[in-house]
Amino acid sequence: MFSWQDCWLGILYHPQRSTIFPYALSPFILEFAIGNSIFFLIGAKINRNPYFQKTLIKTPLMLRDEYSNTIRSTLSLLSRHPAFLGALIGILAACSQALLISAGGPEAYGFCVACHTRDMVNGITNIVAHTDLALAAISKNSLLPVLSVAGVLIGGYIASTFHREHKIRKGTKKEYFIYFIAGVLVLNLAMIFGGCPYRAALRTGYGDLTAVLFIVAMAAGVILGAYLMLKKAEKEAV
Amino acid sequence: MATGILPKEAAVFFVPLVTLLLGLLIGYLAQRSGYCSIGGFRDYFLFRHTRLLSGYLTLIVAAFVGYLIFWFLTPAAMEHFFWAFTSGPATPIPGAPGGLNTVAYLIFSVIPGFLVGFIAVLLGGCPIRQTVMASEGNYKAAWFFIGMCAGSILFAALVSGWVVALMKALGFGV
Repeated sequence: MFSWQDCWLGILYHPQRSTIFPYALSPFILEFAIGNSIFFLIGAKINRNPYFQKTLIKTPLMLRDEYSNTIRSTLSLLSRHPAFLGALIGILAACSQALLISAGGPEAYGFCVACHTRDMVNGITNIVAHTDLALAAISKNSLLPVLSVAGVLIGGYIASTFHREHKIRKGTKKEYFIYFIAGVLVLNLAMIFGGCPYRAALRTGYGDLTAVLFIVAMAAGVILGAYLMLKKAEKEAV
Repeated sequence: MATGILPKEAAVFFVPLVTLLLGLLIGYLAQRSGYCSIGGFRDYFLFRHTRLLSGYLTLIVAAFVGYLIFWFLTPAAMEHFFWAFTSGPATPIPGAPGGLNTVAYLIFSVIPGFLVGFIAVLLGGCPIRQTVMASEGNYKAAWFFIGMCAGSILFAALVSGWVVALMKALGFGV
């Protein structure tokens, strides 16, 4: 059963585990977060307001337009760099595990395309058709299964329409068939290991040596495939 | 039983919500950055470009740092984190078919890893890249995603049992 001594907030009132260090930092973190979010929400609008410009001639540096533009361009550069997303997935996966692990389920399960597709499809099939397909415990216990793959689809759609990169690209029926079979194969192989490349990375960070083996074997497979592609391209060029 | 920040009654309610928001953020940024793990290895091998590879390597490091931070904050939520010394390093975190010994899990990581890398590089992207390309309007990637959906039912109904039976017949059972 749930008890306050096992709960994270309960550490504050727990005599043995109580430590002042993380909580001593919290006012500074809160001030940084709240101050910056207020600045992003209304800082630029205040600057363009003529009344504000007349009354307060000397605006502080943080509220100037040029400064906010620099921050904005830095943010857009950051959001287009893969390393930023990698750091974000790692931290947020750990955060979601710390939040939600009480619902059950495997550890290092914050984000995984193959496992979460399996959970979403099988969980919804179980609800709709009253079947009993295998699931991770976190999806079996919760109200709905994990929906991060649906989130990825919606997020990708929003980003591509917002930046005008959404474009219908069609293929032939043979290509569709090959991609379908490849999807079935990739999901089954990934589930035999217990995760796609992303969960392999999370498991490596969690201290699982089999995931390191998976990444090394994946790199070997990629090198073989890229080598074959290179050979084929050279043959076509000649 | 691991205990997180939320009690079980609340966590059960928040699982779909939190994962949906996480997926939205990851999908948006993955579309902007063209994030791809297999593309990272491919670009490094073919052209010595490190942009995409840096994303994947950062993921591994950030996962370690994130789990370390949250292990420090909530030790009850990270039972088998390796600094907690509660399990051996070769014991896999559950998720694969169960009831087999360690050698079987090593085989399960090498052979599928090689084949996933080989198939995905010929298709031109790892699962997340295919999912994002499907949302961008690529019909081939959409068929890949439909194949993943069909494969998940196939795995749960048939393949999982076949693989465990095969490994037990080969003598890798517990």
